[in-house]
Amino acid sequence: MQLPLLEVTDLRIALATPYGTVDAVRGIDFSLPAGGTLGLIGESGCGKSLTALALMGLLPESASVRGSIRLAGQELVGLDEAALCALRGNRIAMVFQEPMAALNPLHRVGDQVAEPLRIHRGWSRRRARDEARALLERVGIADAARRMDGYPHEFSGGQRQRICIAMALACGPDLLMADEPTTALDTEVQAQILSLLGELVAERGMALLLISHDLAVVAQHTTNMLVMYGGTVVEAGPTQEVFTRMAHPYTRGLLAARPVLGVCRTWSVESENQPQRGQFLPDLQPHSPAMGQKDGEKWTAAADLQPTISKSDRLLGSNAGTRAALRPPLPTIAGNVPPLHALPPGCPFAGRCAFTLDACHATRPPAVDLGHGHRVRCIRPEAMAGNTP
Amino acid sequence: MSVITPEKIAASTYAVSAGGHFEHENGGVPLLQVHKLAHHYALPRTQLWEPRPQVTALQDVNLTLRAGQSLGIVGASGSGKSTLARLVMALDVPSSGRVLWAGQDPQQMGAGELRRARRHIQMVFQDPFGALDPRQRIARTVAEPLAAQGDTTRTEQRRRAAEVLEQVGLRAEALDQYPHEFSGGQRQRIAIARALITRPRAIVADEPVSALDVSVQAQVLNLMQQLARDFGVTYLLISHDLAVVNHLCDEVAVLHQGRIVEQGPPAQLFQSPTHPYTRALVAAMPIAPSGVQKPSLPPSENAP
Repeated sequence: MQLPLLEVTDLRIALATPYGTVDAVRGIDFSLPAGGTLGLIGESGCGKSLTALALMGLLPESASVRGSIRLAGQELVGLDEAALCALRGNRIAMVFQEPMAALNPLHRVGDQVAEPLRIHRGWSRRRARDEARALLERVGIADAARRMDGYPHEFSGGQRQRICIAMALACGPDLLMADEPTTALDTEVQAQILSLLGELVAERGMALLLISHDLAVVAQHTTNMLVMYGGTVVEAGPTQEVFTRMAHPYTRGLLAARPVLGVCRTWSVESENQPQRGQFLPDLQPHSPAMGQKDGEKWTAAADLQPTISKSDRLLGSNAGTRAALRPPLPTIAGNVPPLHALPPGCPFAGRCAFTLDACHATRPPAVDLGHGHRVRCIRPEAMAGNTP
Repeated sequence: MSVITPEKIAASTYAVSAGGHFEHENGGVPLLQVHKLAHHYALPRTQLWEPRPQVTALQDVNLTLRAGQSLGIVGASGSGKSTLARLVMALDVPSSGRVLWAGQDPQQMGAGELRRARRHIQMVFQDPFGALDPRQRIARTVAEPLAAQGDTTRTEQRRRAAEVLEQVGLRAEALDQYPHEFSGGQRQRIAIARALITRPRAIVADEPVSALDVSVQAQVLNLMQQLARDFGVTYLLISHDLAVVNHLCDEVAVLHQGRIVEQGPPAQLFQSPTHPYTRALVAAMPIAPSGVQKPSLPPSENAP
């Protein structure tokens, strides 16, 4: 049995804030095998970026970390700064959301890509520079030999993100973390950057931790996923399992809240070109009853689309002919994300969830195993199978 | 001068009947017309005696926004979307071509006339954190477009501000609070309230939800849709997110390198895009499986 590359056990992060000490991350567990891909989903304030920073040892000093983070058996929590510096950029690398902020505007991009090689490997300037050029070529910077002497402002957003990826790749890290790597980019560039990341991960056998707020991105690019809410992992498992049977009301709410465009392309990593129609019965009703939204009768037109799902039907949805203003609204998750200092004592989603019972407020729900490694923190995952709360 | 004034449009555009059906009565004049619009930006000099090089942001753009038919503009960054928004709002002077508000050219109007005409076309910006003055109370921020019209009293302005805040789902207590006391989604509601206070016919929204979280996006999109239904607001919605445009608009124009390469109803356009660029855009959209099978679980022992 191979040791997982990364093993996080009961990670807890507390932050000192004006409201006192708040628990921003409340005991999360996950592991990532070498070469595996893991998606981390959640909205602002759910603790996903803090988790990534904890892995890098970059948390602010006011934060206290408990639990265990093991990288290939080595404990990272409590490691001193010198040891962390030896790891960062070497065995763990990170790509940040805002490439302009991640690059130093006063240094040539070639030097920035070469820097980790000079520091961690002690390479000569010339050797590091040659390698930097090769890296820039690999991430798709055209005419890298000339452009590596340019400054970050001379590059477009997508190119800057490519440069950041080249920097992260320089020392051949075991683990690459990407925190919302494409949020600042256009849809087209986003697709390019994500497929580049996918290629590199496959090519170099790195593990990828992809943090995103977009379920679709995670669905297409990871094999395993975690959904975080209020500092806890509410649902976890193989991406395919989670999308097949979303068991947590929050996960379902997130998916339903996105306006849908387009055909249901198959999202499983293995079978990119075979839509598995039998497997994903389309639920085209815009109001998922599971979200506790009331169905206006005139909108429900899903029944006639059920038997044959032609490309156009899926694309147009059931309301293509209706004027935009009169189409059914998107199902939303009621209320707002509670602030960390005022999270409910029980299930963090209690109160916003249409299925809330008294028991939900009492204690934090335990993780229930649904098989195939799919776990959910909900006391009544079977309720999602039923029709009414 | 022309016979049609912006005031006339307000009186005669269209009424919203109880069933939510629009009646178009605008004398056949669209709310907004863009005619052969082009815009160039001058770059810094490269040679002392040469003219400054120019970059073409928009070229030969023709658009029509009809009452009740929201129009979406999609395109990558740098395609000229935001330039178009600025020109449509008359915040910039086009290099050539014309923008017509209900048949009138805002560039030809005097300052006072332009200010009064702005009542009918308002704007919502992308970043709800940058769009609100952190030092002004919400009441003043929201009432500002109305105050600029100069025909209302302070009391009236405050009353109307409370009214629009309620329409966007905020409470009247918000009037005396400051922007930092609100979340991103609430701030965007405030920005929409500010656009709404003059009861405009059209709202130009430049990436109104792209800075927001997924679940908040849905709330703001629903609000915009509801305002379109209840108050007959027509949107010129600028976005790079095809799904958002698809949800809120009746027509879409695809902008690529300053030109409109394709235009049509979103369903048709996204289903069978003809221009290669539109095809690339549609192909680049990450799509989650939209249909989710209900979990088929045996009742677990954890069931209450």
